[in-house]
Amino acid sequence: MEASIEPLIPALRRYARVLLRDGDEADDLVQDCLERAVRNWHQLKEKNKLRAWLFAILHNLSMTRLQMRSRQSRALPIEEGRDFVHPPLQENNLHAQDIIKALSRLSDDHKTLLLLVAVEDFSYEEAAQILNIPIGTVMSRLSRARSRLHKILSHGEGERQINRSKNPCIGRVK
Amino acid sequence: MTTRPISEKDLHAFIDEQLDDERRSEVLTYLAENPQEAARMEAYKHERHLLRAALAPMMQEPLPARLSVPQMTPTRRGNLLIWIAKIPHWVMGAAAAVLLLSIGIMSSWMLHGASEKQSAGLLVLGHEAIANYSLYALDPMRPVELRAQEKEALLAWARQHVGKPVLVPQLKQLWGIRVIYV
Repeated sequence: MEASIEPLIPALRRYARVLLRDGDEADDLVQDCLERAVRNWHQLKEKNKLRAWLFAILHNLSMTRLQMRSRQSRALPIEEGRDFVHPPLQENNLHAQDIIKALSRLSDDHKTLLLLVAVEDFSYEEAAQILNIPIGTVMSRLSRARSRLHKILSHGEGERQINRSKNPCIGRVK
Repeated sequence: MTTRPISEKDLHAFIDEQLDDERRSEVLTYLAENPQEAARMEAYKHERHLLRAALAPMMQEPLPARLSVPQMTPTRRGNLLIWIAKIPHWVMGAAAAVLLLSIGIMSSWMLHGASEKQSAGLLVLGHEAIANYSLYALDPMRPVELRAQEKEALLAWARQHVGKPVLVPQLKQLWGIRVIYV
């Protein structure tokens, strides 16, 4: 069990950290996720689905945490996200910062799906299971997420100037 | 030969490398004929690449000690938890009852200990009661000194000793009464 879970931890941390934009809080969630996985190990019937299973647990924990946060209305403004990406990136610095900033401006629905599909290489079916949504929703959501990300990146400079003056407030784009 | 029309899903699956070879070549043909869609997909593909590259360094970071699995493997706390999870509900219920009862006994015992000084007199009374019981109650020769039918005699006796009228409790199945001097 250890041998199969341990290689997956860095990806779990990454997912939680991008969603929560707080390294310590993300690690809390990953720890919680791992403890649950160990406790409920017997519930995982097909061991080849371990990665999707772990991500599903972590995803649910992350969503619960984000809901709690928004209820307490102390959501972090984008610029204040601590421990977001470290260590600092080298020569690709500008692009990396741009894309991460653009990603952080997406709704949670779009962000999670892009992370699972484009970064973690989950199939659309697996993503549907992890997010607990129909496959059709995965496809339409993915299309909107990519379109939205592209728009943010294309109009990058202008929007960033505005964002410095006030905290960006992004409504959910369906 | 006719090919299925290319959908938005196919285009994304093309970017995410989730198409089989046949469908992939069909999409490539489609994109060659549709430069606008080809440009859009090229942009999406580039952004996907940027995103992966930007998030890749996180995979190389050392893990904090608290995120190591051996710390939570069943050989330690997990084992106990799994073991508890397998216990039937009724056993858990019974265990809870026993636990609550023990807490009750423990706390009353501790309370008793706390008020030991005040209850020294009570203890002496208890000893006397035990002594009386063993002297009188276990005597097979004279189980009853005043029969239940002799209630009038009992009342007269009690009135005489106490100095005022006494009520005798209306006990059902009263066999008789024995007077014990304390």
